[in-house]
Amino acid sequence: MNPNMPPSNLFRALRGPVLLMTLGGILALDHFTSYNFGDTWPLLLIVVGVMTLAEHLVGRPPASPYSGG
Amino acid sequence: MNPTGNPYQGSRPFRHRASLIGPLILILIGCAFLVSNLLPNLPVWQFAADYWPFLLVGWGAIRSVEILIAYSQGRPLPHFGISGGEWMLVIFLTVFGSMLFAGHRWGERFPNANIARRGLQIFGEGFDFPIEAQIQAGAAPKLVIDDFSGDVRIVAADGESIQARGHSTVRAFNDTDARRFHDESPLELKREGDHFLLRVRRGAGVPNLVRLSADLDVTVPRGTSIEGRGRTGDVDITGIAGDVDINSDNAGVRINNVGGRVRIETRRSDMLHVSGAKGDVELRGAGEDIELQDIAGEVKIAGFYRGDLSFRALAKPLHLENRGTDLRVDKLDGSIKMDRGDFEAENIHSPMTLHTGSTDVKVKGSSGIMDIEVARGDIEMSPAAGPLSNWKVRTGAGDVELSLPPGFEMLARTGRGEIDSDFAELHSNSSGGNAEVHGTVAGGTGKAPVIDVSTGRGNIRIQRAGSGTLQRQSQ
Repeated sequence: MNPNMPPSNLFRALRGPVLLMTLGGILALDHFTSYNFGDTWPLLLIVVGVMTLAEHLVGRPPASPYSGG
Repeated sequence: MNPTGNPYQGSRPFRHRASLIGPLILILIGCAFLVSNLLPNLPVWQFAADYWPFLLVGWGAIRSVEILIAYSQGRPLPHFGISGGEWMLVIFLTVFGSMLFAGHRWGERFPNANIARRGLQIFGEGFDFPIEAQIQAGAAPKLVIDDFSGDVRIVAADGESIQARGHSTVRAFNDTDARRFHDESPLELKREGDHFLLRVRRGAGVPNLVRLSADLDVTVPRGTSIEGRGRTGDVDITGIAGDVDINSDNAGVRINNVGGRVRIETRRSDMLHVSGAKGDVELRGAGEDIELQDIAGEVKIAGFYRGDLSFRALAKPLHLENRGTDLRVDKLDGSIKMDRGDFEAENIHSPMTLHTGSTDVKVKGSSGIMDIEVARGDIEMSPAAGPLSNWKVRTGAGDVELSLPPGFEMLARTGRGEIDSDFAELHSNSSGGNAEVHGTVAGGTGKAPVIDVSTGRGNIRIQRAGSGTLQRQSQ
């Protein structure tokens, strides 16, 4: 863990590789199971959404211990 | 030394560590071409057409690990894990891989098309030459067909000789070369130890690039046993009393009315058909369609067969282990048909076990004990007239529809869905999306069989057999 590097950078950098793994997984499902690409492609949108959401959530600055209660 | 412990940090300009992806992809592509060149009988491109998506998975996984290591070591991370150029390569790979996959499927659908055969035959032309051989072999010889390409039809006849007749095809640029290659590569039919050997022996002066094939009609004594080794092309065997043992890289095999054991191992095959076999049948390896009927012996199938599988009239147990499917039937009076996503069975009157992945299952007119478990898929079952047997039916997700005569003990559960029943005797409970029906419906004689049905997500319909329309009683 690098304390000088915000985790949001990590999620941003991982977005592409995770999307690639998802694409590969969906295509493998298409080849080897009855799930075809036409059925499962929305997973790509979901993965992009989840990764972007995670990037934003961990990118928030931590709340100051002196602000409020 | 600086506070991070890295003596070079700060004193050396930033430089990205090169990714492992590029060299690994080069090594993989190089290995594929190398294996394809050195071992032309291995189905490398078929493997590549099927499994290339895992290249993307591996690529993403390796890049993720690289990024996590860089993060843990405090090295700068790339702004995007996959660069624009790499995405272009991914698109190219996806288009190329999909074309390879589609072409492979097209080749399976049209096996006689030229593109489906190994090596495009675009150079030169084929020259045909008649070939013939004959040998006295006795009443029950063993014939070994060794390593040549082309189609062979073997028919049993009265007599004690083996006769092979047909033509060889030599692909060459001119007639002179073709004749020379043909003369140097004769058809051999000879005794070798305890068996007779049939092959086209490639001459030492014939380059490996020259394609030699032979289409043969072979007549053998009725007591013959056949062994085919390492050849490509179709094999058709009819009427022999001995065993059949085929071990082939790529062969369509049709075997009819044989008296002995049948064993077929293929790396690739568009069709394996066996009918009228009196001995055991064993199939191993990979291929497409399987058709078995009127088999008197046990049937064992283990491998990776991706096409339509069809079984009819098997007198002894069938055990199939294929691509995550485990099927066992003690005896098959009726028929079973299965393909990539469907399973249909009719007139099964002995115990049957089916454990498989995503598959829709239909069982009709059957009275045997059933144990059916699918990962996902709808199940539809209607028994034969007469007493029921115990049924255990499971699906991870899918609807279940049963058509039953009175006389059973029911236990039906769904994790999320509804249960409809024609039988007022059954009691129901439901809460939070779950539903359960249990009870006994009187009828029949003796102890009522247990119908145990469960679906993780889906509806269950329990219909009275012969009722015609379903009268739903919402539970």
